[in-house]
Amino acid sequence: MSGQVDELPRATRGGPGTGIAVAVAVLLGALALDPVFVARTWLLPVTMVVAAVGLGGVALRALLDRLVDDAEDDGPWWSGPARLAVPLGQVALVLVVLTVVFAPERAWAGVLPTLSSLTDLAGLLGDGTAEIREQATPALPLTGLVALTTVFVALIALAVDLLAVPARQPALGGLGLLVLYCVPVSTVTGEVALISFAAPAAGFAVLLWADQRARLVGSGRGGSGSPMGTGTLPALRTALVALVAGLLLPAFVPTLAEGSLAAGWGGAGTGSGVGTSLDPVAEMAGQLSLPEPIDLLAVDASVADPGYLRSVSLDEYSGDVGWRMSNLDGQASIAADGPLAPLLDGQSRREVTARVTVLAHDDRFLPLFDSPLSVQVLGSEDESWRFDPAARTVFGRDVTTGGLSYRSTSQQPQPSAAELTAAPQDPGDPMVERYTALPELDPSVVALSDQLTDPAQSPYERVRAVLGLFTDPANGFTYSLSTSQGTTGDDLADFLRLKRGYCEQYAGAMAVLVRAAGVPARVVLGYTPGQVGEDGDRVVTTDDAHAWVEVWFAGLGWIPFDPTPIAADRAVALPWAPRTDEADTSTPDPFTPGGAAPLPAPPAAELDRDDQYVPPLAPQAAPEEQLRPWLLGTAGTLVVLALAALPFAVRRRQRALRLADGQPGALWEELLATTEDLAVELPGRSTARQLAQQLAQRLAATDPAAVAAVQALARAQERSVYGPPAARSGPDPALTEALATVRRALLRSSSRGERVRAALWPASTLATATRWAAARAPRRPRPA
Amino acid sequence: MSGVTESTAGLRSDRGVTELRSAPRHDTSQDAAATQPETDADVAAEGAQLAEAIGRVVQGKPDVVRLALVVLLAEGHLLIEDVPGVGKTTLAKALARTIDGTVRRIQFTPDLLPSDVTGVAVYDQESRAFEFKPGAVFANVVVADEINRASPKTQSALLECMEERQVTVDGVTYELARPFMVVATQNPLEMEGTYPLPEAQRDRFTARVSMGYPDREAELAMLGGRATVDPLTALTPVLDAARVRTLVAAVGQLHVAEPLRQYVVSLVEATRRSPDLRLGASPRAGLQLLRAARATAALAGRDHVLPDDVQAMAVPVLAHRLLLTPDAALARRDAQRVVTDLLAAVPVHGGR
Repeated sequence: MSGQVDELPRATRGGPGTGIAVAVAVLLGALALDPVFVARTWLLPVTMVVAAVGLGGVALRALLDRLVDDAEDDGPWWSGPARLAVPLGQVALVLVVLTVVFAPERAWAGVLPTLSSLTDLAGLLGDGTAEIREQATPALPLTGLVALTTVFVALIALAVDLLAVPARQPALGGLGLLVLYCVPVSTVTGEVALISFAAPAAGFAVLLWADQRARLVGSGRGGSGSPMGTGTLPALRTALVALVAGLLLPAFVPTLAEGSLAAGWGGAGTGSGVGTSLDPVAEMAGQLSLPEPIDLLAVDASVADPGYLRSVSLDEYSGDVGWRMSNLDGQASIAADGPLAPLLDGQSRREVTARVTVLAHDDRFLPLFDSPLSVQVLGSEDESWRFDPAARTVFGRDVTTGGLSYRSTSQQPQPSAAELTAAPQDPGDPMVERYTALPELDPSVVALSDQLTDPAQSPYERVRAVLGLFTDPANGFTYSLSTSQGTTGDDLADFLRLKRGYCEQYAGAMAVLVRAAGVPARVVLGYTPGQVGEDGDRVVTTDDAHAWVEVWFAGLGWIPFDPTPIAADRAVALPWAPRTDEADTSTPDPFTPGGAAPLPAPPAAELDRDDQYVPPLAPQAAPEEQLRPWLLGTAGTLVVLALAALPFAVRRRQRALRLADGQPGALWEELLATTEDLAVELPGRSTARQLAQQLAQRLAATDPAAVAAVQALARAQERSVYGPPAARSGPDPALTEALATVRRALLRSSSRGERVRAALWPASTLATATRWAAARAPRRPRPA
Repeated sequence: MSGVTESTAGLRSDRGVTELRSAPRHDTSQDAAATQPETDADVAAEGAQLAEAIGRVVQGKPDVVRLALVVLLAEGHLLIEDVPGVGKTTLAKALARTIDGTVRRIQFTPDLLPSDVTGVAVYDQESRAFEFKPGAVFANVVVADEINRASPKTQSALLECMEERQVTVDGVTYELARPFMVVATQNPLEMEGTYPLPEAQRDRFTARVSMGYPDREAELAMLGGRATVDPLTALTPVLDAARVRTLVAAVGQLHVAEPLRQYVVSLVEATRRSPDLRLGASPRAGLQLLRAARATAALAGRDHVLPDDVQAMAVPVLAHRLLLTPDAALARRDAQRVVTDLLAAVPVHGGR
């Protein structure tokens, strides 16, 4: 009956429609890069190269088809190799576009690339790689970076075009769009903009739709209406279902928050007892390093600008660990009589009372305004909360702040510059001895300190000099969250040399330099006072986490200094430590800090978000941190490769299982899967005998032995399904051997491309999955 | 009328009922090429002998001959439909002759009466009692020539005989011989002077086959051969009735697996759901399809039935029972085409 079964329509190469759809899809995918750049000037060259690849491919293929059609029926001998010319032509077009846009000066007629124009282009791309290193996202679309982006997108367009049009695997082309999507995901801090997700997804849908349409129209099975409408509805439906699933599923899957992997290492092994040396930072890290700010505290303060909320101070510095907390003295309870940490007499001060309601904060340290006089924890045993006068830290003994409310009264020091200048230098003071302790420093740090300060100056002048180093735009310090964590000796030297870092490094470096200048200093962790919410309370979020410096002045006590450039709406005004850059701008605009930055402007959006303080890690973590982009990139590549290899692995496993089974049915399934992988065209619904006959016809020319083998397989399959139970045979090694023979013959009779595709992207696994899903999906009765 | 239906042998009684008898002969030679497990009846080998014998008369039509044998072994009835002169009656007579049993031929004419078919009780003056005179259906093979030329009343007389293999006259039921096979020929309905066969009667025919014109070589050979001697007269019986009964029993015992039954049911159901069909296949059609598939498998020398057998029989067994919707008829689809499409659409277990 095989003669009566219709031949399935031959799969044709993607028509011009698919080529154009590829261009549209890649362009949509490239829109994912939008959040990476500050401005959209990159879009024009990218559009041009994508159009060059897409339309160029369509035109070249049409030309080739015409040439081949004009020749013999089967096409001339060169028609095969000529197909290779299409991608080469596309590359040439891309080069022309790149030359026209980026390096026309030395090109021939400004259009055709010459050797020297190509050299210019290469130089530009070299600049681009440097700009990638220098800029954080969102980046300025500098020429080199744009050129590099253009080349990147052009390569992806080429790959997608190759996959979707000649190879007819538009689903694989989606990997290219995935790569585009990965760029903003891996570079932009925080949430990824919706366009980065939606645009590549839409592009992928376009790709699938075009292919579906080409197949339906090509096979004459176009349902209703115009060719354009063919298959649109199913494509739309599929895309919608996939989109919704993609958006909803992650909500139910537990994932690691951004950065919590690293934080988790740092937090491991934290001691449990109070009074031991422990790392407060690690405990805070979990909540501080979230990709999205979480409201931690609601603060109702008695003054409009209540200053920093202080959690804990880091007062010991060593070259290999960085700043850390010394042991806390847990003798005194906050319930004890008398003020906790009164300021010294005769000092300018102001009183601040505050009521703090804890929202999501959960820590052993109470964030308090400086300097606390009394604390009343509502609804909890005051006895459980201890006060360390040296660190001026209130901490819980076996309790945390979760769900608490507390009232505090504080005295904030308000020293005038004159008072500070008058503060004497007293080398004999035990405070000076304790808080100027430093390990052996990197010579460059010592030299810097010597250059900045003069022992003859008053301590305050020295501190101002050090502060100026960080706050004077002329010195070129740039805020960046993407540097390595830590304040170890190496980290500080790197920070001072590279001038890129965030609050942890700013504060750590300043404290070290101040100590090096002989002035007592320590690093303090806590929060900026947050934003005023609707009900008048200030809301402190994880984004408000901060680190700054306290400097000890004889007769005045600990005075805060903040070297980090944070957004104006978060900054705390410290009149004794004005920021040079702030002084210039009367109306602080968070998006243009510093007005005239000498380097590429520090990305404003990041400033706004600022300064998560990220905990110092264990020293061994530091090298890993520098490798992080590489590790992430490698891991990402591996994941993509693993995903791409998944069908291959599934297919291999399936094959091994079936061969081990050895039953005729299993072997038959395997034979069918092999034909499907190799895209051997077989009638859709047919009996084993008919299929064997078709295969035999295909193999008869090349391999007569395989003909007998395939028929033996079909006979065994028939017998096992339809034969009398007594006649059914078990596993038969001869059959397994026959399967191997047929498989070899099928592979020999296929083109190299089909073989490679069968190995890497076995269609049968996908089809099996589709059939499995289709069998379980509700289905409308369908006219036969 | 047709040159092929012209009488070639035997006596012609009035109203066209002819009795053909041949010398008994039984050929028991076994073919060594048989591959099936040992049974007492080698259907494949003996079927091949039958086919060879008939093929000597009906040249160039192995498929049609094979189908006729399938119907014989399935204990069914065969309807041969085609334009006059392509060898319908020759096939029927050749089939009848190769079996050594009673064979009767009824030439259906508009004035043929039901009692001519079934028989009639006549009053015997001597014994002063009614005596039953058996009609033409009391034979192993009944050749009903040009069945659609008789009136519907006479056509219906065949109904009971064909399905129940018995005749009831004046309240008395007479069993028919086994095997019993009606081979009817008919001209296409558009021809003049025909009464269309009612659906109920069409449903009783296991298969309908169309002869088709012979190819050029066969026609040339026929012209050469016919000039000297009619091959039909040279035909000798290959099997006797008892042997045919044995073969039929052997076919009935052929193994049918569960998936195959399901396939047959799916196919029959599909005809009922098809938007092209006003009337789908009856349960009897399914039964006869399975029987025919069994016979096909047995003729192929297999001890089990395959979906391929069902597919091979689907068009001849199902097509003549189906009624197209007016839309489908206007679209110039025909029942064969609809069945072929269904075969391509209904999934086959164990294949793909």
